Amino acid sequence: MSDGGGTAGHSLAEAGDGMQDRSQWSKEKLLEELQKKEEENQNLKLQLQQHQNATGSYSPVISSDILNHQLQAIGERPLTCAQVARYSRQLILPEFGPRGQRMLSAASVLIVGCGGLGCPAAVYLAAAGVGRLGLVDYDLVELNNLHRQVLHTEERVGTSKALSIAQSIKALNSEVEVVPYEISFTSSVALEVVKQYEVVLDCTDNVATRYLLNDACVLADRPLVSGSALRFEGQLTVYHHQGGPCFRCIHPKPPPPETVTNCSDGGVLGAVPGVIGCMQALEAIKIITNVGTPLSQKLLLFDGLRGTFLTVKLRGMKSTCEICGEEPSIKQLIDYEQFCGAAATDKDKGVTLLERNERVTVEEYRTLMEANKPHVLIDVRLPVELEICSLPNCINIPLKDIDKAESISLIQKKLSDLGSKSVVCVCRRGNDSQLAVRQLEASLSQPDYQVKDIIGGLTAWAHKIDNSMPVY
Amino acid sequence: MDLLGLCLPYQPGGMTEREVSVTLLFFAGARDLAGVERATVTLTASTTPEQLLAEVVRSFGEITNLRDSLIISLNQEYCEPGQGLELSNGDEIAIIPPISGG
Ligand SMILES: [Zn+2]
Repeated sequence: MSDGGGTAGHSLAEAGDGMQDRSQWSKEKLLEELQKKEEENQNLKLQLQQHQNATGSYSPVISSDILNHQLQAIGERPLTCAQVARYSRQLILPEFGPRGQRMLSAASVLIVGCGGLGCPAAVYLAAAGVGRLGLVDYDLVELNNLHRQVLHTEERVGTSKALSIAQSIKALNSEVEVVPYEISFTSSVALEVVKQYEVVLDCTDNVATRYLLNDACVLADRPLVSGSALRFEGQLTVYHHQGGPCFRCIHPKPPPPETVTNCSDGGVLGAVPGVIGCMQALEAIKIITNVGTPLSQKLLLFDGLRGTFLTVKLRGMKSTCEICGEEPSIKQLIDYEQFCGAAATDKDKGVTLLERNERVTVEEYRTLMEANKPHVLIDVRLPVELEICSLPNCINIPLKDIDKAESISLIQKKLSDLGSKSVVCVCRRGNDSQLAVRQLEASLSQPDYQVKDIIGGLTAWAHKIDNSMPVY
Repeated sequence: MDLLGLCLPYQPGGMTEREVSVTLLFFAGARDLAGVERATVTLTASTTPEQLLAEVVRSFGEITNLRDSLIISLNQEYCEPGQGLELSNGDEIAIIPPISGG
């Protein structure tokens, strides 16, 4: 620090000398000197930026003031030859041009969720040359992510998703500053992180985080590019932008948790979030560079099976909205898991519906099987899941059909054929099988039937009894 | 359109509600629960999103649980809760629950 103080003193004296000399200079000479100083200034900023990139680019703790200043400087700076060469194919678009490229290089985008939507969104934003990309995800890469989360690799299974994307992005475009946040995105940190970025992408996988991110974006006054995908369908819209609605204006009440399907249970074809994630990147670029018409106040519905897009015109901002309305009742972030009655994750929530004596462990079931005790085993999964794996001698009645009359009579016939009163239900993880037991108890007329389920389902069977059974 | 209404015979105790044939488009979870992507149904012409939904639930009861979280659109325009709607033959009504997966 003492060194710095000395330098400052020195340059002050120098500046004083310069002032005296310059008072005699011509206008041309002054302009020339100004240009020289400006170039020096730019070079210093560039050097500082490179220094920052080399030393601190992976640190989640960033000083927004310094960064904003630097990025501002980049926005004003003409493109370098390397940049022109790299981005030439988008530079020649009249709507975009060097102006768009400079705006993009100066801009910052936060991607919350580094999964099926976050990967394609990140890759196109980075490739296009966005200045700074924040990546939020506390989760680790799993093998079953790779079919849709295309920036992760086999080698990185078990490592941080945010770091994995950051690594892939750096290899694609080293110019982009990448800031991975390996944190769980909660009410205590959300607003601070959101404020550091100009545009936010909702690439999350659960309802609670969607409300949290919406509220944080309204409070921080940031546009929110919201994408979602499940099975063969996707949805896309831009919230809180140009007088358009926020998520709460459209959905003031969270959906009942039992109506929400996640990718793990519902399935998803990788290319579907791929389509939506790419479009999220496109919307972010449009917003940043002021090109085209953003999907504000419009909801795009993608039907991958039909290959169709439908755009529904939404309402504008709602004056009575609890967060973005005229008299908002929500003035700071709340407890979103409580608000939604569901955890901020797409992981399966274990169901505990049955008592222990209404259930059997996989070990107990093996004993029962080996002793050839007569019983009816009902697999309550979808037929397509039985094509993946199943236990021998089961009958397949999907949960939604379990209390239908023909199902009940089939079970009763099987039982009387075997001369047994014992029914065992099984599913993938031991959740739906509990629901099946309760429904069967109500539907099977004779009270002396014994209906139980297998704790942990086929997943537990694969882990504890039969390692050759696939887990999905 | 109103002429049709006038042609209906007068019924003591109130007017017969005019009915129209419209196409329902089900999306995401509503599609799973309804069991169809689209359906042609007969609905009361003068209605609200809530009343319309109540009529839809009569044929596609399974979507009841989604009721409060649905977006209803008429010919690709969002319908405000409580909004008065005049349906015409051939109108397209979309029933859209939010998707939250990613
Ligand atoms: Zn709102």
